[in-house]
Amino acid sequence: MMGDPAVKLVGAFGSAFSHRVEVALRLKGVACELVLEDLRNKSELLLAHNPVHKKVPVLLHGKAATCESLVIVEYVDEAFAGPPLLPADPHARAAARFWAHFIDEKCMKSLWAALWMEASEAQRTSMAEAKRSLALLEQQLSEKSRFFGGDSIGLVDIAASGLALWLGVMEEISGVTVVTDEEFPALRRWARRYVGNEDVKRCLPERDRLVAMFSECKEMFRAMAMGSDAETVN
Amino acid sequence: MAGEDELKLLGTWASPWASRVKIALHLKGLSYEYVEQDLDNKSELLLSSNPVHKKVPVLIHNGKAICESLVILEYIDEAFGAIGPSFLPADPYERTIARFWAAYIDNKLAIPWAQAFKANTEEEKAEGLKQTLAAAEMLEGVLKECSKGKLFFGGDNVGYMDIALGGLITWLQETEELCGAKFFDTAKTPLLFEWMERFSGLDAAKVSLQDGGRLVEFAKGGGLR
Repeated sequence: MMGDPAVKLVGAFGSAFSHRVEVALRLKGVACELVLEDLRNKSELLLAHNPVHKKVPVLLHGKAATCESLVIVEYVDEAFAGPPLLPADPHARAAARFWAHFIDEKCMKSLWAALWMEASEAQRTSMAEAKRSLALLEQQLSEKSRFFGGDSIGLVDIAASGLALWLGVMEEISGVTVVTDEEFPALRRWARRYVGNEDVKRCLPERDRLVAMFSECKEMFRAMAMGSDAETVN
Repeated sequence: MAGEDELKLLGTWASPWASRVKIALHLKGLSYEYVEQDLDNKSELLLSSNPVHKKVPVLIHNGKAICESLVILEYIDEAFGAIGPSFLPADPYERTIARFWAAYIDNKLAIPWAQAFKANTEEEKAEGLKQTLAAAEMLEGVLKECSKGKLFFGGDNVGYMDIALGGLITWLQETEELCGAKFFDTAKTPLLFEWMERFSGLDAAKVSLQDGGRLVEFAKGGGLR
């Protein structure tokens, strides 16, 4: 549109968090310039706009510089016209926020530990926790809906996107399987539907490239998991 | 909204997260039933309303449960948009700033601070304290910017960020001794100190924040989960 400020997304190739914002923008029909960071050599642009966390993604839109992927997704939903990413009803919105937060706080952390910790009591505990959390998520998917958001992709689907592609990649590289068709049939169906979506496909990195890229990080991930809090690479 | 709105808050007297919700409900002028929970013997109502985390606070509105204090704050703002003040600003970017800093308060302040006063080793305590004080400094800077010389993070009126931090005030004050340092330090973070005094003076805060003496005893006993 004439006169609208340009949108720039500072992200990184292969980042599941950058993907969340990319897909949100695409679903809203917002054109953006994608700037890919080398996370080993962060640019002035990134450091200036996210001095607090120094992480990707960062969305630049006019005077706005927004950080933290899920905060950005809500911003995208509110700042731009286009199909809503959150439901209209306040209670349904609260539920969406709750589950998006649950995915980050409970699923991602325990998954990371389960994948990368060395075989031990602690790793087994993380695995059990990861499966418990994923089972709760599985329950949120009904037979009738295509996505967590219903018929169309919404906040919770976007939050869960790491489970649709990145999880499989990490399972392959680590040799640890967490999600199977038998134990999590609904989640697996959802994942296939998610990665098959036309809008999503345009912002998904190629699986082979992800495998190649993250294979090189295997030792680093294992070392990170040995520390008390394993944070996903960003 | 036509008809009776039934609001029930499940909380514990000590919980700063429950305080956030009490403050919000008070600011909106909403009446509700408060039900004190025993976390060592969780009620059916708590377990069925928050089956995922089994924690407080839980707000039950006309039978529907909402969990997670920040999610509840946004819910109250949206469900009762026509009543009382709004907590989040109208502008999408300003809303984002408020949400970002509320998340910061939860992740970069509350967590290290809990570590500082619950620490088993001197090292853990020192690390937690260091991060907590860094967060205080950061928030001093944010207050300067966000308030633009006005009284609160939200400007003239109490906003989302004020409530997010405000709920924690008594805990932050009363654990100073346990942590070994002041969070609200009039010399180091003057704006934040003034903000704290101003916020504590609000009716909403007076009815929602804990009794300091009782909290100190509770904290010393290893209270907060």
